[in-house]
Amino acid sequence: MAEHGVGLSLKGLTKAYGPSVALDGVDLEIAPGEFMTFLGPSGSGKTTTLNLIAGFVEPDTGSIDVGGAPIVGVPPHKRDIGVVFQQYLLFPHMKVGANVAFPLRRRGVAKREAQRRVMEMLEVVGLEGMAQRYPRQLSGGQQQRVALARALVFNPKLLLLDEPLGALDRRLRESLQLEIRRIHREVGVTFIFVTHDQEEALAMSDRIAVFNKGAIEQVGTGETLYQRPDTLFVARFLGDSNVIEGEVRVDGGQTYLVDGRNRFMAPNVNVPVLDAHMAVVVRPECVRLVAGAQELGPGVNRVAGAITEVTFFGSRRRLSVDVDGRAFLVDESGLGPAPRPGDAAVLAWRAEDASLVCTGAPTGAPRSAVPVG
Amino acid sequence: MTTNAWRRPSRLILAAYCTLVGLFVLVPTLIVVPLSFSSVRSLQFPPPGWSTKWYEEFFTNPEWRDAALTSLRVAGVVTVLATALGTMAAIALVNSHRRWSAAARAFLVAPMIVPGVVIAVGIYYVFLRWQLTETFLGFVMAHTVLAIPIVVITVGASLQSFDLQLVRAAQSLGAGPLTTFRTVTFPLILPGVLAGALFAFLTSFDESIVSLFLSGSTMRTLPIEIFQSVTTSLDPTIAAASTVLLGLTTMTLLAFGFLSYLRNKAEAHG
Repeated sequence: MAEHGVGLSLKGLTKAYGPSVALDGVDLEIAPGEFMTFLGPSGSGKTTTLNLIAGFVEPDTGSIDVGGAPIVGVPPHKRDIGVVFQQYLLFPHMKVGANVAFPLRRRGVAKREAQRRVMEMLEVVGLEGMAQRYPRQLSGGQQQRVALARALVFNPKLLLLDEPLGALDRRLRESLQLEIRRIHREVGVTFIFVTHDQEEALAMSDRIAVFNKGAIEQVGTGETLYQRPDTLFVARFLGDSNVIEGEVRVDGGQTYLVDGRNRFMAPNVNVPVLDAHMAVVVRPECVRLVAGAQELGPGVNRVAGAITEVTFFGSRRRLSVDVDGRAFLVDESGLGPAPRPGDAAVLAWRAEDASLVCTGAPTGAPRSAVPVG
Repeated sequence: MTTNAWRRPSRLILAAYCTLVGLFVLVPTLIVVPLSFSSVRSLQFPPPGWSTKWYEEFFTNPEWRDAALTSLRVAGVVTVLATALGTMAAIALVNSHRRWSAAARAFLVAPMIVPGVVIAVGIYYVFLRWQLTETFLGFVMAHTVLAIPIVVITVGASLQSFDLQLVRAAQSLGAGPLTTFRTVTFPLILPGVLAGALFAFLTSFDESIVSLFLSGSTMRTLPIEIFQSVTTSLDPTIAAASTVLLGLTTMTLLAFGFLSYLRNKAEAHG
């Protein structure tokens, strides 16, 4: 099929329902053909943004451009944007074939041509031979495939997917995730996928926009968001992490985070704001157990504590380690002898493997970095 | 064993009781059927002989025929008007703010609750001034007001099981508001609309209280013609007219029952 992805540009979108602010200034550029995921907890504004793009709701302020053309004020049926809903929303009084043909008939496509395209699209979603069934005769996964075919058959400029896998069980969800990825590659349409499931977002997306409290916290590839989160919210929403909050110091070209008792080396990537209250985020798999006397080299943090819990997950083992009353999570390979709760442990991680992030707490006025003492 | 022994007579008693109640309700109504085939000019039971001359009288006498035609015409127009208006009202109610829709619903359904004679007096007073008594338009307007509530209720019940999100789905696929109504909403609420239309027809066709006030020598409906004849002539044409009325309403209800039977069957198969 031809490439017909179209870019999308959101600028300064706001929306309030009475006193409650649903969206508080959303800006985002989506490239043609991209698979973009809106990720966030419920009430974070991701579905509101989707409804604004679809045209079900109009923004209070801001603009939405699809392929360079503004669409605010255009009614939804004239936007040429496909939508897949969590509850499938197939028309129960129409057979599968008629459901998929519905958008073509609205566009005056001739009957035979429509028939051909319906069959073609049913094949893409793996439902050939189902055209004469009624939606209620299909399983949930099959119904969602029909919804996908119906939303794609008219070559929409964009496809919006509003938690489309939320109503399905885990196994089916995983197989449909792969399926949706494959269909995205095949049709080349720009996909916007809304979910609150971080694993789903990481597995499927080209890029992820993390929503929080009506605004986008960070946009980037899954790897960027996971390895280099900008904010504590992003770090906590995507995967597990060890978080140390404290004040930023700089000493001899090395950035430190001081939390009162301890001083940790932090990565030097972001230009730190001196004395700012920030946090260091270390993923559990970046922390290792080391022998107490081992020479670690420069740029490695080391703390000592005692193991409190060991959980075996097959391919890996998760240790919970108490360090001065703070619980550290450590992931290590499931191979080799397992440590036991109560064992003393020395933990180490390279400063460069951690991220220095904003905590969201108010910080003082930015000052230039000045070496301490 | 004891439960069975206890059960059997109690079931018999229940069956007998139900039959008696049924007869008590039906017999006074059904007695008009043999009376209408009587051979003599009096409401004598049992009739001394049989004939169909009272039906001939009913269908040829201009007074009876006019009344019957008036009733049918009024009921026909009322069915169309009340179904259209009631359906639109029911859809507006589910789409509007909850606080307003509750008040609006109460207002729309009021003609069902307010005593008929109060409505009749009110309508009579207003229609006298507007010179709408004894007019086709007057009957249609009054009956439509009385028939709208039943349509609002039946269509409202259908809309309860209609997922309003389907409207969004249709819009996203390129259907404007009217197309969405025609292709999605209407087919799915059709059972409620049909039931509403049927009851709207019956409401108008049977209506007696308001019609009594609006009727006169130049225009009256069938129930009023029957009422007038009972007070003056008492010949079996009344029984024939009543039988026709009874037959028509029963057939409409049976047709509706048959339709819903067919639909259930289609759904079970589908």
